Amino acid sequence: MSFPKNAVLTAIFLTGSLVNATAQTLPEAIAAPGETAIFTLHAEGAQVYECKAGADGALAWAFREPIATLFAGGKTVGRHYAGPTWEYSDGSAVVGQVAGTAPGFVANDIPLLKLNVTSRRGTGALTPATTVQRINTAGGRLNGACYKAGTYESVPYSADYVFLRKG
Amino acid sequence: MPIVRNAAFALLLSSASVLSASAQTPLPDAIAAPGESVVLTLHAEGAQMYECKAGADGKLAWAFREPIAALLLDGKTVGRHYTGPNWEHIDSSAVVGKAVGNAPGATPNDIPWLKLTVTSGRGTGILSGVTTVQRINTAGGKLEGECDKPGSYRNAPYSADYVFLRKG
Repeated sequence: MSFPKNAVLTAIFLTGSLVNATAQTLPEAIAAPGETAIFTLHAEGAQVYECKAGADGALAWAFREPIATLFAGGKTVGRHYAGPTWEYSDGSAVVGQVAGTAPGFVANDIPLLKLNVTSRRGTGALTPATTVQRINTAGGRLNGACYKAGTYESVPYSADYVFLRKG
Repeated sequence: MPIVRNAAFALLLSSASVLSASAQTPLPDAIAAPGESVVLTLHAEGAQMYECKAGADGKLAWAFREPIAALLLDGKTVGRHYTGPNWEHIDSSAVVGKAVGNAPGATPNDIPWLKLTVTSGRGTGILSGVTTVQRINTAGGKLEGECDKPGSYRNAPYSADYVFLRKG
């Protein structure tokens, strides 16, 4: 009876990943009550920082832009980059604006985010998305002084992006 | 006469960047592109991504999977580099390359310098007509050794300059 056993195993995996992606208790600041997850993509990449003078005139690392590959089931299915933009391989893409943040797991992890979708292009899997959550962040943080204005530093990170739609 | 002084300074700066991009100490033979001329040089910031996989000997080790990087010019983000390997400019022109030569990076932690022949292109713009891409001035990006969990990923941050050339 190997088929039913596999089916049960699959069901357990699916449940497991749904729980990870959406049904775990997210901090209120990034929750999206009344919205439904369309899917979750894993991101691997870098947060790019630029050495800039701050308000006090001292040079410090300032966040510039993200650059990451988006994965689903071990396949590369898109990219995440400046905007912030998420682009899926079917040509659909959304741009978001931060609407809420919550601390990462440890001090080196970039914050968890909630972003409202502010524009879209193409038509496909991402088209219905109204909200994007950045969860399960690892790495990506860079703080402190730097020495040469205009230099860059890439800090590796991973995260999961949950795409949600209203209703 | 600050304007004149600035102009002279700007000239020096742009000569310096042209020098470091192409006319610096000759590139290693293995990645040279004699007879081709530089169209554009872009700076890349991003990560080389590795996946934990069983090698030929059955042991789990980090295997290179794909690059992901922002392409920058004069402080502006003008494109992306990603699996293919693809280089995509915001004017929508893009090329895909295939490595045909390599030379060691400056230190063991730096990924090799590369010469890639363009195998396909799309869109129309600044990258149209490019026949060769060189990856030079690499810093970081290397990951070697054993890993524990098949299918897990790790990013090694890197930077490099990509020189786009065309024949003639």
